[in-house]
Amino acid sequence: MDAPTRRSPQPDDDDPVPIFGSWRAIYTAVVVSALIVMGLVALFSSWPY
Amino acid sequence: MDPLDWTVLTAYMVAIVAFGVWAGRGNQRIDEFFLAGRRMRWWAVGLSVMATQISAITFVGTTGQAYTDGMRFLVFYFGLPFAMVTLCVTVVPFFYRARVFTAYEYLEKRFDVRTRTLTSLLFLFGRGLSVGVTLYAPSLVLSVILGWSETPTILLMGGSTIVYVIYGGNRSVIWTDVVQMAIIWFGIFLCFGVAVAQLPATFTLRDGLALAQTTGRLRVMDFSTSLTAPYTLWSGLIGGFFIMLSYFGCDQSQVQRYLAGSSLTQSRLSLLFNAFLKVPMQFLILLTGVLVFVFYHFHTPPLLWNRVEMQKLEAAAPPELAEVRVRYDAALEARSAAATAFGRGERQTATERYLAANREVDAARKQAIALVERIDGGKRYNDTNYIFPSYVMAHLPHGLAGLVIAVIFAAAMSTLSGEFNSLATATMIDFYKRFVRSGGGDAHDLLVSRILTAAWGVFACLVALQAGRFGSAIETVNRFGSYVYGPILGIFALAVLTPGATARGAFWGGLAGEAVVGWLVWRSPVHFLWYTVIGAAAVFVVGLGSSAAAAVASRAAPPRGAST
Repeated sequence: MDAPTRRSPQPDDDDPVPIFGSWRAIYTAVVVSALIVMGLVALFSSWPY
Repeated sequence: MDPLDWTVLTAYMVAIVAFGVWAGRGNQRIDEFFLAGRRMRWWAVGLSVMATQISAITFVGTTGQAYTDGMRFLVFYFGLPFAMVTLCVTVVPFFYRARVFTAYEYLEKRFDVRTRTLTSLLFLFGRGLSVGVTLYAPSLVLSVILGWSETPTILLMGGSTIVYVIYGGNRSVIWTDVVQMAIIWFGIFLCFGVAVAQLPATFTLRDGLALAQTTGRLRVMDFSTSLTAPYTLWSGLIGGFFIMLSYFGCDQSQVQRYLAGSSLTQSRLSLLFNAFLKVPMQFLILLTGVLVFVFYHFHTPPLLWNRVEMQKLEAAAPPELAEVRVRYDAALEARSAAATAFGRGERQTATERYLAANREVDAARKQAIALVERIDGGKRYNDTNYIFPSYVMAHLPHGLAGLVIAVIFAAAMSTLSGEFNSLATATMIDFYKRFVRSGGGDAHDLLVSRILTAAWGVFACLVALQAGRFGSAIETVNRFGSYVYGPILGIFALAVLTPGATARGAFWGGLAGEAVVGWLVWRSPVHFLWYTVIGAAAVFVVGLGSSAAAAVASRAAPPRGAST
């Protein structure tokens, strides 16, 4: 296999991305949800029960 | 165990082996045996990826750690979602389009056979050593808790897993993982629900969380920048990110799961499924451990959780033991009274009394542990892994206790099945078919693949049966993954991210990275979460430097055939 170039990885050519429609959207959703979960965990830790 | 618990456990064992054999029927070629014919859907692969990662000792150890130390271990998983996105963008497309069986096969296409062989050997060495411990650790815990000998526990777990993996290969692994993960999820919710339901009527969940908070057990975020402090936010985010990159991107036991996806989209979705669910799942497991801690304010916890060690201590009867017992019982009584007052709304006045009593409980236990270590000739004692199974057997209703023991079996078997399958794949594809016999035909290849699966399974059982003799070396072996992950990740980073990296640079960079990690392990106090980051960085720097130096040297050298 050739070394990767600036053009690779190539655009995806298989199944459509469910629900989110595009890879960019689903990756953004993962990152945003991870940040929200971390925020909720921090809130849980310091909540005045 | 009660007959009802035995019935549940037996039903699980029989059903999972029968289902594994049924699900894996019809393999004719090694791409079917090792990659499930590349026809799996994302949710099945995603659950299999999750099940392979959560071993039995992760399940019982994490709850125990939350009991003794709190929830800060959660930060270990904070880097996972970011690692999954990074992998989906980088290596997963390369692996998928290269149509490889093993991650290391890709390295020969990109670099050379030497680099492929080095990384595959590092994987076989690390994973091969740890697979025995994966089997031994839960067997030891279950043998102590259930009063069984270790040998039948090891043979039952290892033997039943070998049966369906030999027969059905990766398809059996993935489908049994799906069922086992469903059982594990059910078990987690069940334990959480039972722990909440067993709190006294006058003591709410909110009181329990407040009580745990006063001891620091709900604390997750530690912003310390020290490299030696365990489980800081930064070691979790940065160190955890690199460990997850390496584990999910370069460890064949995980790569083989998502290479079975029916398309690149399915493979990517299986990883993103874990990116969404892994942190909430670990949060729930850790919170269950915290609730077990709260539960034992209203029930008497044993002085030591390891029953065998406790019996040894009682048999030795050192003179200080009676005094330790009196101190422990008095501290428990004071702690329970303070916790009850805490629940009645007298938080202001009860908190100081509670914290003092809790410190006294810990001090009495430390004294008991020192006594055990003294009669064991200085051998380190740690009973964290025994807490959760002890709670299950003592306080869960019959039938449910058997189900949770089945969950522990399921967690162990789901990890073992993936490891047997991936070790056999790396041995078959990277060594047998590469160096011994490449054109043996489908029937021959399938037979050798099954023999290799059996061989790795038997090897794991033999290591597990002998593991008790290795003593503290077991802990070292258990961490072996973190010793090899950095160099492997560095080689893959060179392959995917740097078009200019050469085969020579990758090979020598890999060796240099391993040397750096070796030095960190033996000579530095750096916490193990940082090994992968530093090891990968060393490979990257040495690999790029070596590649660049070779390029400069070749440009400086006179063209071949030129006269001087």
